[in-house]
Amino acid sequence: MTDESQQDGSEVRLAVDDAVTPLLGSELLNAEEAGQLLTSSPGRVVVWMGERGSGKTTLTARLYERQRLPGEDATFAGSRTLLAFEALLSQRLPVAGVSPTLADQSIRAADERNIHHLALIQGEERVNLLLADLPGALFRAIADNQLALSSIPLVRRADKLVLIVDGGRLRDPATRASVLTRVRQLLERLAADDLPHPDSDLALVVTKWDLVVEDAETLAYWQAREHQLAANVRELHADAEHVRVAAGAPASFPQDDGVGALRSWLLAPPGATPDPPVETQEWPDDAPEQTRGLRRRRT
Amino acid sequence: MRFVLLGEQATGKSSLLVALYGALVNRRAGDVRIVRTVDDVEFLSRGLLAFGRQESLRRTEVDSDASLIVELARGDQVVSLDIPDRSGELLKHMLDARVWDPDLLAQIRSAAGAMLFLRADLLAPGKAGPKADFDSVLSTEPAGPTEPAEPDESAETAESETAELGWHPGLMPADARAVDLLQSLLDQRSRPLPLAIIVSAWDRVSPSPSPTAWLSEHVTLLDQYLASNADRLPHAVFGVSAQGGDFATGLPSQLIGEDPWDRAYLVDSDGVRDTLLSPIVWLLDAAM
Repeated sequence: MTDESQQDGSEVRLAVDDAVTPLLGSELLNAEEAGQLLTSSPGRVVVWMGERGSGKTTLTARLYERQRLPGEDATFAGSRTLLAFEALLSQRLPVAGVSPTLADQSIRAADERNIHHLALIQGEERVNLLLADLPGALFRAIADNQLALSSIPLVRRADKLVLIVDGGRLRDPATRASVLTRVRQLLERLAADDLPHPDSDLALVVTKWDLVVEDAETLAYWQAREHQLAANVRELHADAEHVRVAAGAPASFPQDDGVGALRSWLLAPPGATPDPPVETQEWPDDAPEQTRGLRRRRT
Repeated sequence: MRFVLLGEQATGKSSLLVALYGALVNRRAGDVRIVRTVDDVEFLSRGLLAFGRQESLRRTEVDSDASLIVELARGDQVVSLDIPDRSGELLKHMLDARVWDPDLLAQIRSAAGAMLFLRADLLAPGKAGPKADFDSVLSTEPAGPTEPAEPDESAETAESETAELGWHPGLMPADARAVDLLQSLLDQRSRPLPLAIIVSAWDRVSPSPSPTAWLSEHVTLLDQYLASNADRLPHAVFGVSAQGGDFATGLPSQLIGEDPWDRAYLVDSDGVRDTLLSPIVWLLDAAM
């Protein structure tokens, strides 16, 4: 494409060079392109909110990579960011920190390319998942009340907001308390900005679940606090989901990695009960009353 | 009617074209026959000569942008068929450079159908996945459709190049590259494109499942993509052995005395043997 000035200088028009036609899927999407996709078919804008290194990028990569496994109940239908997914996978999971292609401030600018796209078919419906990170630096700035969540367009537009608890950091006695603090700070910021919207969904996702369960002391720490944190989340959003994910777990991990459950929640229309229905598990009798009936998945 | 051949180097495009021509000329094409040969077929004749000597096509023959332009009769119906064979090198370069080749784009926009080539022996289970040595698929010396790959050497090359250059589209596994091509193709077409998936070197698939089952197991991402977009990409999968076996290791004894057109074989989506023309017949039916 070249600029071409008119002789009188009054007009500049663009001349399209027909010889150069780019291939699809070469770059991440910006907000405008994501919006255009959503006008053509149903979609979910998903924003991962978590500390640097909490597993956000790994979740994005695994959702794509998972489609290569046999017997999945969702079918891969395409990706406008195919190359970005493949580049992520080549970094050899699990990935620590955000992708080097994502500058920390980039999510704030509408023209920045920071959104992965994954089209899946579950049942009869084709759904465009548009996956964006809230970079670690922004996460901390918001948690520390240096920045309003509502100043980030993608967060305001999100259909699915995902609060991430870094299971790896729960193993470190020096950092585990701050993990809980950060989640509660985010909850407060969300509430202050009237987020999520009534027609949006919220989830608490514990990443690196394999690291939690393999250490009895860590597991005990988490179990003692999980109910209350989940209750705090549910105070903000009554139908908040709670998923445990071991996306970077080795193949020898004996439990389901939870990625399929997370995907089902992401694909479900906001406000809808996923199909198949989310497993409901009663809380122990000594659990706080307000946590009973919270939908949760064992993964 | 134009059917475009899509495949990277050494995926068997030229070999199939030679075998198709051999089957047509030598009346091994079922109820399909040549009415008139429109273009120069010297390349195809040389290919048949090579197959007769039990030699694979040479690189210059494989990547020569040849074509088969004929008028075919099928029952009372006569159709003009134009099958251009663009070089696999060009397609690879295009996918890596992220820009359409103008001539291929024009062909894609006007095509009535296409054939997408995958090579069975380079897509063993897991080979299309992200941890695969997929670069061996791309950098194999294209000496012929069943020429053995040299994965160890290719792997070393890929590793050193990756270390020097970082990630680039050429490092994508074969299934992602196929999806990449088809997505870009659909982006440039408003009409559906009937697609015959040709799994070449089928003689190396053992035990032999149906081509449909093979695709599902070995090229999962592509299989899902095709299923999800069947309205725009109606498709069928065929397994083809254009040579009938591996010249390098020796043909099965029962084939040694056979002519090239009698050695070559095809299995349809269900794994049933059919004529080499069946992808063309399928495309003709799908395009009409």
